[in-house]
Parts: sequence; C-alpha cells; structure tokens
Amino acid sequence: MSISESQPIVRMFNIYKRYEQMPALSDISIDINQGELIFITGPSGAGKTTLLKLLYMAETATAGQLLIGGVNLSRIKPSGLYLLRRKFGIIFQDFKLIPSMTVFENVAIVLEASGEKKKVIDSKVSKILRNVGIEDKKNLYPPSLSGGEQQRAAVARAVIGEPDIIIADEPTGSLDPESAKIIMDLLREFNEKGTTLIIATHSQDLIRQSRGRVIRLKKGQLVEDLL
Amino acid sequence: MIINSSNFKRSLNDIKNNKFLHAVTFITIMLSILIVGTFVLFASNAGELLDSWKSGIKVIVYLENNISSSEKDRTRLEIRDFEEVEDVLYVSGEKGLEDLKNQMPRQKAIFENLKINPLPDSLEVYLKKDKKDIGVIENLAAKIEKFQSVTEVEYGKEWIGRFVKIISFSRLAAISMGAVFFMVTVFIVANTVRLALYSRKEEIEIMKLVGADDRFIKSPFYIQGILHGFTGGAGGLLLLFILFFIFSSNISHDFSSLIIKIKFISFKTLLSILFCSTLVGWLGCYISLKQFLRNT
Repeated sequence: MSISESQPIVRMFNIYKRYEQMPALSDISIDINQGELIFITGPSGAGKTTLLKLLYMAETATAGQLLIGGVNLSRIKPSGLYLLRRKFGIIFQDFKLIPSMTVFENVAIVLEASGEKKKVIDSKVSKILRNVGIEDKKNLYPPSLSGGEQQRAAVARAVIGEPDIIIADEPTGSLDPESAKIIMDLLREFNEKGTTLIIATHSQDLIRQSRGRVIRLKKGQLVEDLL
Repeated sequence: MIINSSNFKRSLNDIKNNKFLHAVTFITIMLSILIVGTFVLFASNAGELLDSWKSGIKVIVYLENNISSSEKDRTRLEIRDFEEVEDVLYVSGEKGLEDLKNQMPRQKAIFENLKINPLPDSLEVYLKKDKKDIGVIENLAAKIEKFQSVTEVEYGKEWIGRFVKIISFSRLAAISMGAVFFMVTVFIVANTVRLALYSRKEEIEIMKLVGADDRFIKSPFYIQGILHGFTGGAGGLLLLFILFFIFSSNISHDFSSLIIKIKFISFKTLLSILFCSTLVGWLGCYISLKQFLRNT
C-alpha cells in the first residue's frame, strides 16, 4: 500500500493560532498519511514549532479542527491527554531532559509510564542507547553531557515507545555531521517500518538528503507543500 | 497510586535532593504527634485513675437514731433491690466508731474521751461495676434520701464531680488538640508538597509530554507523604516514650504510693496514632496534587 493511498493519520482543517492578537498560524489545512516523512521548514518565526505543539496538544488551536488517528483533539479531555501523547515520540528543540534523572532513567520513563516490566525496560533502553551511541553515558545526568549527547538521549526517549508518529524539532541542530547521520539513519529506520516522521528544520541539507514531503511555512502561512 | 521500585526510588531521590524541606515536614509531624500523644497519655492515665477510684466508690447512708431494727433491715433490703446496687452492709454506730479509731490511731485519745458515740448507724451501699457514673450515683442518692428512715446520704459528690470534670476536660483537650494539630500538619505537609511540585514543575510537564498519566506523576509524591506521616508519627511516639520513661522513672521514686501505676499509651492507641499521622501525610499530598495537576 502506497503512502498516498493510506488513511491520513493527521488531518488539519483551517487551523488558526493566535498568541494574544499576534497570528502564529493562519488557515493551515494539511493531511498527513501513516508512514510519511514530512519536513516542515521555513524561516524563524514561521510557525514550525507552533504547528508541532498543536499536534501533541502543548498548545490548542484558536480556530479550526485537528484530527489525530480520526480523533478530534478538541474533544480530548485533559485526563485522557496521555493516551494521545503515547502515540507520539517527541524530540524537543531544547531536548527537555529531566536534569535530576540519569540518561537511562530519562529514556526509561516513557516505558515506566506505560507500565512496562522492569526487565523489558532494561533491555529496550540498553538497546536504544547502544543504537544512538551513548550506552556508556547511561548513568550520567544530562547537565554533564554535551549538546550532541543530550540530543541523542532525547532521540532515544522519543523512539523507545515505538510511537505511531515521531515529531522532531530540529533533531540534528546541535549535532556534528557524523552524529546527525546516526540520528537521521535511526529515524529513517523507524519511518521505513511505518512510523510517521514529522521534522521541523532549517537545514536544507537535511531535506535534500532525504526523500520526503516538504511543507514550507512563512509568517504562519502555508506557502508550499511539495511531495 | 502505583507503588513500585521505580516510584520508590524517585521518592527517595527527591527526599535526598530536598533534605531541608523534607526535614521540616518530618519534624513538624513528629512534634505534632508528640504534643497530641502527651494529651492522649494524660487522658488515658487520668481515665484509669478515675476508674480505679470509681471501683472504691460507696454510698454511705446514715440512719435515724430512733428507728427499730426491723425498720433498719427493711431499709437495707429496699435499697438492695435497686438495680444499680450490688450489695448493702449494715454498720452499727459502735462498729463505725471502732473503724474510725483504727483508721486514725494517733487521735485514739480523742475518741476514748467521748462520752457518747456521735456516729449514727449506717448502711454502706456498694454499686454494680457498670453503675458507677456520677449521674447514676446522684440519682440513687436522691432516691435513698426520700426514705423516712434516712437522715443523710454521703458519696463524695464534690471530689467525684470535680475529677470527672477534669477527666472530661482533658479528653476534650486531647480531641481538640488532635483535631487542631491534624489540620495544621495537613496544611504544612500540603505546603511542602506544593513547594516540591513547583520546584519540579518543568519535570512534571516533561513527564506529561512523554505520555505519563496523572497516577504515574502523583505516585512518588504520595509515597513521600506516607513516608513523612509514618516516620514522623513513629518518631513522635518514640520521643514520647523516651520522655515518658524518664518522667515515670523519676515519679515512681517521688510518688511510690500512687494508687495506680502510670502506663504508656496502649498498643492499639499507638497504632491508631500512627495510622492518623500516615493519613495526615497522605491527605497533605492529596490536597496539593489535586490543586496542582488541575492547574498544569
């Protein structure tokens, strides 16, 4: 089954987002299919991060409808939000690692929160840390890691729960080319297995290196949507 | 609440990282339990003292001088028929004087110089075990006073009444202090948890973003609250026991003739206090978490 034939996992209908009176997004309508690789690009302040935040409900749209897996997000109660978020693996621009927890604990928390057994957690976390190349740092705390190592830990946390959708905000922004390649290869591996991958990035190199759909935003408006 | 090794570890880590805050909570609970425990200890011992005094309570019924033996006997039998009465003993004036002489040997000379016996014949009325409340005694005395053959009824009304009031007051004080300290401690624990929650606001937001539900987020805080309550309560009771031990060792030398031996709080009461202090810890968490998670 080709991507275009599959049922859209994300549907946005005329989304608007305003912060007080400042428009951040205007009239955005996008369908994203299961297993797609999407790059959201545009200059700073274009609304890339805001668009991602709407997806995992860190923000709510001022107007318009947003559906994930057929569920209208406006109908999700705060108490049920965690179920939506378990569909996502999120790589934040500022990593958002918990400083009082070790790298291992930061990654394991996703599985602990969903009630996995300790043995499974130990095995999965060790494997994913090995894949991103920071297994030897597992007992260290995030403040003692370099930016690149923190980014890898953030990626490991995002993919550990084998989510339906991975959202990445500048996932290679603080990485050297070699580390960036390791991370992108890992993300592509998940994408090839059917995970939808939505990446917000400035990097035109990253977009060129991958064959994916490119959504370009400018001043909160959709200016280009190229397959 | 999910109690597992991971949540337990998260709780202990937080206690380790915020030692001062947690020490304040622990000490507050400990001191509150010490104060409440002191009142409970006083009330329980005073209650026992009252029970011990009550067991010796008898009502003395003084009879008219000029009544016949059969009338005296009839009065005795009628009083014995009251449901609150266990037994009635007749004490003649002579026997009464003899007993008095034996009880007050130093004043023997005064008694021997008496030309006439001032003591009337009397009846000693012993009450049933469960009928020794001041109200029951007062009612019985009122009923006996109505007898034609009776001149006076005596039962130590003054001291029993006063002592019962003291006991009731100390029990009321223990309950009131308990309630006040319960609320104060819940408030302090709730504030400690609130401070901990605000200091970890970002961490909690991250947990929510990676799919943690409220139960997962709350669990370590509940574990902390229960630990605070339990250890604070146990600490307070231990301190109370040490103080009791020191106090009772000294008092036994000074008041070795006390009617009853001062006892520590019963095991059942200790468990109840420990349960309440644990509940305080849990409740403090519950209040703060409910408010905090609603606002984040």
